[in-house]
Amino acid sequence: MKQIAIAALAARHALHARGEALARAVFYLAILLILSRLWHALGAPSSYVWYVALTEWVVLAMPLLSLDIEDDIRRGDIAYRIARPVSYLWTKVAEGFGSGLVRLFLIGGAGGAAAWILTGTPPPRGVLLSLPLATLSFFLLVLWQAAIGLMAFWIGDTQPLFWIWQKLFFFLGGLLFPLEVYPEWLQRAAQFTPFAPLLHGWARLAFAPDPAVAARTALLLLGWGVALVAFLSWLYRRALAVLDVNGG
Amino acid sequence: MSGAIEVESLRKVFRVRERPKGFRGALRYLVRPPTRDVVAVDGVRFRIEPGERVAFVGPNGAGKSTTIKMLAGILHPTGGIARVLGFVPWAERKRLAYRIGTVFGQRTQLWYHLPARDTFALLARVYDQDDATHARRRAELVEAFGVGRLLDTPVRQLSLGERMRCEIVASLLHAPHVLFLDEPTIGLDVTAKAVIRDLVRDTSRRDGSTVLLTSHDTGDMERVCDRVLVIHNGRLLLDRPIADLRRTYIRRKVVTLLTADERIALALPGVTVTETAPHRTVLEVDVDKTPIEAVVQAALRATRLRDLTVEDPPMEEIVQAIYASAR
Repeated sequence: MKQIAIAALAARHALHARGEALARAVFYLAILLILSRLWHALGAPSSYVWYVALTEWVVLAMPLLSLDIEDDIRRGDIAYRIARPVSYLWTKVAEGFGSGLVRLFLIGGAGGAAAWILTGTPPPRGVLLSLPLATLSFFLLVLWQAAIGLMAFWIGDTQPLFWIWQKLFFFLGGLLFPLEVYPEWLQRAAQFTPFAPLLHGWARLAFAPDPAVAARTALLLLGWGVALVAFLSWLYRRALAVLDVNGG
Repeated sequence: MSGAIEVESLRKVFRVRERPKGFRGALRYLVRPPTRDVVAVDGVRFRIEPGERVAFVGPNGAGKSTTIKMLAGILHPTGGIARVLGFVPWAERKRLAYRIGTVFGQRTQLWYHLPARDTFALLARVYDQDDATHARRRAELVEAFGVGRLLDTPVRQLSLGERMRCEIVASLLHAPHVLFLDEPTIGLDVTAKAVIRDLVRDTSRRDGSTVLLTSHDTGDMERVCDRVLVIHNGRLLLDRPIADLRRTYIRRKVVTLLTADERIALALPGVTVTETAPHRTVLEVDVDKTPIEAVVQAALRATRLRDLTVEDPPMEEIVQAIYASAR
């Protein structure tokens, strides 16, 4: 499959962009330090630090794919890239996923070590259980970013849209705090959004390592993944029609 | 035999949004933006035979890129028909993509932090090329383009000229039958431009591939192509062999005289002095009014000549004159 070769080359490319990975890792460690102190002051269990280590890990490894696609659309590069025997959309998704996997690996190592030092405890059993789900969730985040990037065909600047999506994702996904600390009604409302399974759904395994929860989250992620792939394919077809009307 | 590229009455109209003035206009724009049609390509017709190298020139906004995008299957035309290698590009884009190559001077397909060899290997996968074919084709092109020592250097460490040679190799790896080149020498120095032009021309001759080149640099057109299509305001103004262009459109010559006397005066119809310096006079001669030999004879009567050169005006001026004739 061509996309696997593209993702593999993107991963190799990302290995050479060490500066970016280092900057993200430093920010990650700073966030972990601050939040671990906060949880410690509130008397929360150490597994909460592992929770934040997991959510921040995935978020900070995320590629800036929406910006990348927006840039291609604004500069007209997309017109030239679609004249190849491989889909532009799935090429970008493969590039985003490949480069992101390398960052997941690099940042994950640093974050895991930091969380261990900060909590003084090895990763709870649930952390290992959450890793495959984190990878699946990461793939969905790449799809979300691709969808936001394609919106540049209609709205030009996708940054406001990305900002709104990101804040909803951070809040309803439980980036800094597990949804359990939210009011009951908000917890329930969050479960109806695609954001809760993206972070909280699997990261809560750090303090509640329940295989049934993991299986349910996996199903939810797969369901949202299928919906996102269908939506992205439709959006891409619409985008190519817009390109045809307005020119590249 | 059918042509490599056949274009008949090709037309493309873009619908462009227009932002009205004032607050009410802004509100209207939000709800239902007013649009206006812009004709980018208007009934273009031409045919290019296999192996031909054709320059496609015109001022900015003339319709060159839109035409090429339609020929590459990126855009659907509003009207007319085109066939590239027998394919209708917009209906069979993916199949056509295997048989065409594109080089766009300001855009790169090479991975910045990796050696060009890695991009080449990926392109072999993208174009479904088997390992043996890829290795053979790469070896041919690497030798022809002299990029052997660059293959394992990260692209970010290459000069612009070296990078462009690698870009063209990347575009030729799948042995395309038609190559679209858009400003392939933009930003390059004089030496690198000459190298790229010769390589493109020689590769096209060797492979028998068809080249359609757009460029604002008339040097690209003269060195690479045999024929020129001039487009202006979406319409084809001219379709001629490049050699004919000089014969037909050059009604002026530039004559430089190095003289024994400091200054000379020549009063001949259609002859104007464009530059003077001690012992040097540059004349522009309208050959319809006064032939060159008459100018030379008049100069010899006026003074002793140390040297004399007769030049055509630069190709850029010829093309400008063609554009101007369309206004």
